[in-house]
Amino acid sequence: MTRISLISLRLLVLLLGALLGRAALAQACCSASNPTEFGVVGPCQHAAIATQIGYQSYSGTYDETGKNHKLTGMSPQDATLLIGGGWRPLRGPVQIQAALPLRWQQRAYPTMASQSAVGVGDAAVALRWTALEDKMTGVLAGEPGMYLPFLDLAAGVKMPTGRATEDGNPDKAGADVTGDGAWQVTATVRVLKYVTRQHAFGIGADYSHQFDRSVPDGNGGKSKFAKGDSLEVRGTWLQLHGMYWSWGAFASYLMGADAHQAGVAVPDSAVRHFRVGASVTRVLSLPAWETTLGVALDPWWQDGARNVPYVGPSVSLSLRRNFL
Amino acid sequence: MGLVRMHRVWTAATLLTLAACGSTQGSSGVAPAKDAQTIQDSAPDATSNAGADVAPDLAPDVPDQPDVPAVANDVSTLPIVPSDNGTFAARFLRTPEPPTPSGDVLEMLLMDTTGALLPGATVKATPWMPAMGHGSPKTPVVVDDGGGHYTITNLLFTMPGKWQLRVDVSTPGAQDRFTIIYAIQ
Repeated sequence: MTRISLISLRLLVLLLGALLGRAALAQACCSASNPTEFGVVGPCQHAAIATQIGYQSYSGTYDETGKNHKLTGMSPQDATLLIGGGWRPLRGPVQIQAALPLRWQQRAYPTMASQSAVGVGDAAVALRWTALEDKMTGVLAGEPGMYLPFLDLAAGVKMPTGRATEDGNPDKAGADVTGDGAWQVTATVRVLKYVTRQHAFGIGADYSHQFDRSVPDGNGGKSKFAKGDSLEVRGTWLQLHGMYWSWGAFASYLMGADAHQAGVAVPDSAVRHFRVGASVTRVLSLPAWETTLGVALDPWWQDGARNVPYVGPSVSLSLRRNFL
Repeated sequence: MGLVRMHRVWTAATLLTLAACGSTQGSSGVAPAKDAQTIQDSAPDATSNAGADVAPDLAPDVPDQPDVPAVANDVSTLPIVPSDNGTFAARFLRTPEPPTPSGDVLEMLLMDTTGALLPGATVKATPWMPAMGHGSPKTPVVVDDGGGHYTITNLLFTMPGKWQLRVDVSTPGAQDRFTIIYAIQ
């Protein structure tokens, strides 16, 4: 455990200055934390380091009209090892977060040998400010300030540290493409309210903007391409069960505008994506260690998404070390 | 099987002539543009998308496009598709149908606007996924089989979704592109 702690601290230092691109939710203090987020430092914690292994097998795709198709010509699957954490440099309401994915991807096509590759994905860093803190007593406690929720504001950057499509190895058939190839910034707002000491509800939104990247223009030159700005809204529910267990669920909906190439909107490129998930967290050693098992589902019905190449169930298992 | 559809209306009498003849040779002249609707109504390979900025789509699941009878393994009997700017025309045979992520073959019988076959053209094919802004890691191979017949292989579409296969054709003094839609699942 000591060795793991040292490794964790080193990784934390390496990832310093960064912030997790995906917004995080305020967590219960020194108790079972919110299982739907990764690497967020709880209110009374000084730092946290976390790792997560996730697996997703894709079974369908959504086209630009919202029509769901079963994948018949390929059978892709991904596994991601996510390493990251957070740190409060001044032990105050501001924390720095970072996450770095290591991706294993397999792509199988009918007329080709199955290809797989491992590579670093796009790293993310973020700066997060907890503007308001919930007393976590519930709204019936009769205490001053009992209606105040957690309010978190964050700004993050996703960096193109992964391999972009245009840099892919022809023999890998896309299995080695682990990144978007573009910088992206995200602004986040999260509100979480403990309505009782055990139950919390949250809402939040992420607004993301992807910067241009150079892509072939089809005429031997280059042009600028960027995915459209996106807004993802998310609702969460969390229940604490004693000091050692918690579980929760979330639903999110992402709306992305049309992509642009050479300053012109690409027709039929807008994205919609609904997703739900649930997870359960177990504190292994209070307050230091905890583990979370999570599942997430993509829609399978018509119009559940648009322009989402891969959909399918995913499962993840994370291990987290908290530092007070 | 080659189930072929077409989104763009042939803009003038070339379509009338070629569609009516069902031949790759011997057409002549250019009819007035006003004849295009007549051509569209009469030609089995024309569609209602007159003037629409839509690429030729060989996919079978476009709801507003009528299925076009196709003769397997005989590209010369398939409907004629104009290039994006009308500089060339071609018949395409895509196998298999519907398209798959890898291993597909596209045959092209290339013609000029009079319907004369065009051997010896420089042909380049490029897969492109517009919504994602990327192409394919593999470069398609184009073989000039002679007689205006070209075969495109080594196609790889690495992701489900709507792809374009951009077939750029150049001859002395002319160049244009065929943009063919591949709906990959």
